[in-house]
Amino acid sequence: MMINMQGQKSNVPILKVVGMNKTFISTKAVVNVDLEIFRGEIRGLIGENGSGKSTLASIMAGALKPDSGKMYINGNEYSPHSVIDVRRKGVSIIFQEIGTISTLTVAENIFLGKENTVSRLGMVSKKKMVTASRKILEEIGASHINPAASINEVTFEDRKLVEVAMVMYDKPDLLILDEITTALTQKGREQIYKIIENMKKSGKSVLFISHDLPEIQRVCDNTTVLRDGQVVKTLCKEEININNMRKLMVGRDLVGHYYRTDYEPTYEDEVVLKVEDVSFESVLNGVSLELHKGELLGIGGLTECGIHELCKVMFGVIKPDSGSVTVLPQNKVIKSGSDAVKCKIGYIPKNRESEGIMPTASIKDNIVLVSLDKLIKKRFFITRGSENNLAKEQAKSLQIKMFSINQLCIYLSGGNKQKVAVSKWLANDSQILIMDCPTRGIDVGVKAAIYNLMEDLKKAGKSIIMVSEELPELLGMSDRIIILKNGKISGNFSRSADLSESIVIKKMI
Amino acid sequence: MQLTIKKEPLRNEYLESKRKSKSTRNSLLFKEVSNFLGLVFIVVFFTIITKGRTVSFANLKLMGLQSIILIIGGLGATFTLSHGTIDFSLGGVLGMSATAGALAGILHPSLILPVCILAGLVTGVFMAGVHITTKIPTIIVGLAMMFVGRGITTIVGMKRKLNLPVSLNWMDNYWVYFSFLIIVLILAYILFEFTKVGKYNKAMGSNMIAAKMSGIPLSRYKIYAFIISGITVGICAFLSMLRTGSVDIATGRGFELNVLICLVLGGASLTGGTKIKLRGVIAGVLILTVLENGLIMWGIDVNIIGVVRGILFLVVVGLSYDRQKGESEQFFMPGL
Repeated sequence: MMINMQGQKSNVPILKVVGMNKTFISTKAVVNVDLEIFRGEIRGLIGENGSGKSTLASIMAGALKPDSGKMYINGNEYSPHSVIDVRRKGVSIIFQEIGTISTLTVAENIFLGKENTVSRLGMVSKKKMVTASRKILEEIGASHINPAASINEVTFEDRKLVEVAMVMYDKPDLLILDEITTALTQKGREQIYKIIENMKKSGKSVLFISHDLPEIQRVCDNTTVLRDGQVVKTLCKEEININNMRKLMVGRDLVGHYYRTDYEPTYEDEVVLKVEDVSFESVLNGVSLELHKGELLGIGGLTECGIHELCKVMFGVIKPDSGSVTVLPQNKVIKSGSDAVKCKIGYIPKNRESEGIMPTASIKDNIVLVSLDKLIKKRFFITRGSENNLAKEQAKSLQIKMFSINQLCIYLSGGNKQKVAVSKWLANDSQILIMDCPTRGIDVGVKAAIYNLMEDLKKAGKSIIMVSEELPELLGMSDRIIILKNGKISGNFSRSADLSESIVIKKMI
Repeated sequence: MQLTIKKEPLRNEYLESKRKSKSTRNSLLFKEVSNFLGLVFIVVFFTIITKGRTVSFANLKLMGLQSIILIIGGLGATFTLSHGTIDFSLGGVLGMSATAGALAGILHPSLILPVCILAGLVTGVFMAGVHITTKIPTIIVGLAMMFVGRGITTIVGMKRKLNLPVSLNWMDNYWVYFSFLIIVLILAYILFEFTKVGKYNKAMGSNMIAAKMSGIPLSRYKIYAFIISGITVGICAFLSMLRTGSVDIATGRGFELNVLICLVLGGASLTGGTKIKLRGVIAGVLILTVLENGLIMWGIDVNIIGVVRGILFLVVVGLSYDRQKGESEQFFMPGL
C-alpha cells in the first residue's frame, strides 16, 4: 500500500501495530488502531488535541501499556516492558515536554542510563563520555553545544537537541518525535528536519507527530490522521495538503481563513500602557513601548530573546532591575501582580498547564479566581450563587465544551483549557490582555475561536499584547509588530499588506 | 471573512469529559461514603466487642472532649494545608502557648486565654515571616518550630509544674468546650468557603505558580492562613490546660501528627487544593477518636495503638493514591 521508493526494498514493516486499544478511566484514547511503518519512511501522525496521537506514540515506545492489541518489530511480535526495553529493540521516542535532568552536564545527560558504555575499570570516564558526546553532537549537526557544559547553561532549544543526541546514540531504526518542534524556533526545526532526512537516507524510519500542518507537508512521505482515537485515513505524499489534512482532522469542512482581512492598523491615540526602559538581568536591555486603546500589539522574536520575560514584567510578577511599567488611565506604576489585576490587566502565560490554570480545580474555581473582589462588592461574602453565575456566563460566552462548571479542568482538551485561562480575565473585565503564545499547541477550531475573540475584544476598545513565536499569526493579527532581539527592540512594523515574513525575520536574527 | 464551521462541533469531547468528570465525582463521593461507612463499622465493631462500654455516656463524653480539641486544631490546620503546608509545629506551638498562658495566669487568671491565643498568633506570623523572607519551605520552618516549642515547654516544665488557677476550674465544663467548638467552626467555615482567605489559599494549593500568575498576593494570604492556624492552636492550648488542669512537659506532644492523620483520614490531599473540605476534618477526627478509644477499651496495649495509627495512616494515603492513579498516568501524557 503506502510504500515509498525506499520502502519497496522490504515488504516487512519495521513496526506493525494491530488492533491497538487503550482506555483511560472511561475515555477511549486509542480505538482499534492498525498501523504499519516501513523502512525509509517518514510517517506523519496528526489529529486534534485529544485524538490519541501521544497515547499511541507512548504505547509504541513502551511508555504506556495497551489494553489490547499486538505489535511487531521487523515481523517479530513484542510486548514492551519499558522505554529502555524498546530502545534496545531499535525504537526510540522523544517527548514534547519531558526533558533533560537539570543538575547534570550535557554529556551526562546524553549517557544517562548507558554510563557503562564509557566506563574504564568499572568507573565512568568523564573524558571518554565528553569525547563520545562531542562526536554524536557533531553527527546530528549540533556541534555548537559544549558537552562539558552544565545543561542549565544551554538554551531550551539546544536542550531538545541534547535529547535528540541522547536518542540518536542508540542508532534507532525507528524514531518517534512527539510534537518536539513546538518548542523550537525555525533554526532548531531545520536541524531536526536534517536529522529526519539523514534517517531516511540510511533506510531508517521516523514517526513524526506535529500540530504544524505545513511542516507535515514538507517533511512527511505519508501521513496518518487520527480522530477520536481511530485512524481516519492515511494520506500518501500527493494527497498531503493542508485543506485535506484539516478536513480529516476535524471531520468537517473549514472554509475561509483565520486572520484579519483588513490591512490597516486601527486603534485610538490614547496610550493605555507604557513600558519605559525596562531591563532585567541579561534578558531585557532597555525595552520601551506604548500600547494604545483598541490596539493589538504583536511582539515577536526567537524563544530566548526576552519576549516571555517581558510579559511577566508587564504583569508585575517579575521585578525589573530598572525601568517601569505604567498603566495610564489609572496612572499607576505596576509593582506586583495584584497591582496589575487592580488596573484590569490580564495575563495568559505561555505554559498553560503549569502557569495558566489550576488543572485539578474546577472550571468554576478557575474562572472566578481573579474576580473575587468584584463578587465581594455586591455582598460582604462570596456566595456560591454569584460564583456560579459568573462562571456560567463566561463559560457560555466562550463556548467552553463542558457539561458542568464543577468539572475539573484536567480533563479538558488543550484548546478548552486555554479558553478557561482567557475567560478568567474576561470575567474580571480586563481592559488590557497580555497573551503569551495564545495559540500554542491548540487545534484549528479553537485557534480560530481565539482569533475571533481577539478581534471582538479589539472592537470593544480593549487592548491586547500578543507575544508569539509564530510569524504568520503576528502578521495576520497585529496592528503593530515589535521584534525583540537579545533583549532589545530591533524592529517596529505597522500593519500593511506589503509586510512579509522575510522582512520581519531579518530583524529577528 | 471569518472562518466558519459548517457542521455542529464534535460532541465526542464533550461526552468524554462528562464521563471522566462523573467518574471523578463518583470517586470523591465514594470516599465520603466509605468514610461514613468506616465510622459506622468501627462504632458497631467496638460496641459489640466491648459489650457496649464504648457507647456508655461517660465514655461518649470523654471522646467528645478529646475530639473537640482535635477538631479545633484541625480546622485551623486546614487553612495552612490547603495552600500545601504540612505543618509539624502544631504540637510544639500548643505546648509553648500553654506555657506562656500558664505563666501569664500567675499574674491574673483572666490573662490565660488571651495570652494563649496571642502566643499562637505571634508564632504563626513568625513562621510565615521566616518562610517568606528566607524562602525556606514551610514544612522545614514547621519542623524547626516543633523543636523550639517542645524545647521551651520542657525547659519551663522541668523547673516547675504550672497548674490551672483554681478560680478557672468551673470552666472545665462540657458546654465551655462545646461553645468554643461552635464559634471556631462557624468562623472557620465562613472564612474557608466564602472569603478570599479560604479561596486564595486553596488556589495556591492547586497550583502555586498559576496563583502567582493570576496576581494573587501569595505572601499575604499565606500569613493569614498561619494566623488562623495559630489562633486555633492557642485555643487548643487553653482547652488542653482546662482538661488536664496543668501544663507539663508532655503538653501538646504528638498533637501535630494526630491532626495530620485526621486531615488525611477526612480525605484531604497533603498538597492542598480546592478539593479540601472542612467537613472532612470532623469525619477524620471522629474516626480516629472512636478507633483509638475503642482499642483502649478493648484492652490493647497503648504502645500498640501507635503502631495501629501508623498503619492506618499508610493505608489511607495508599488508598487515596491508588484511586488517583489513572489521573496521574494521564497527567504524565502531555498530548492527551
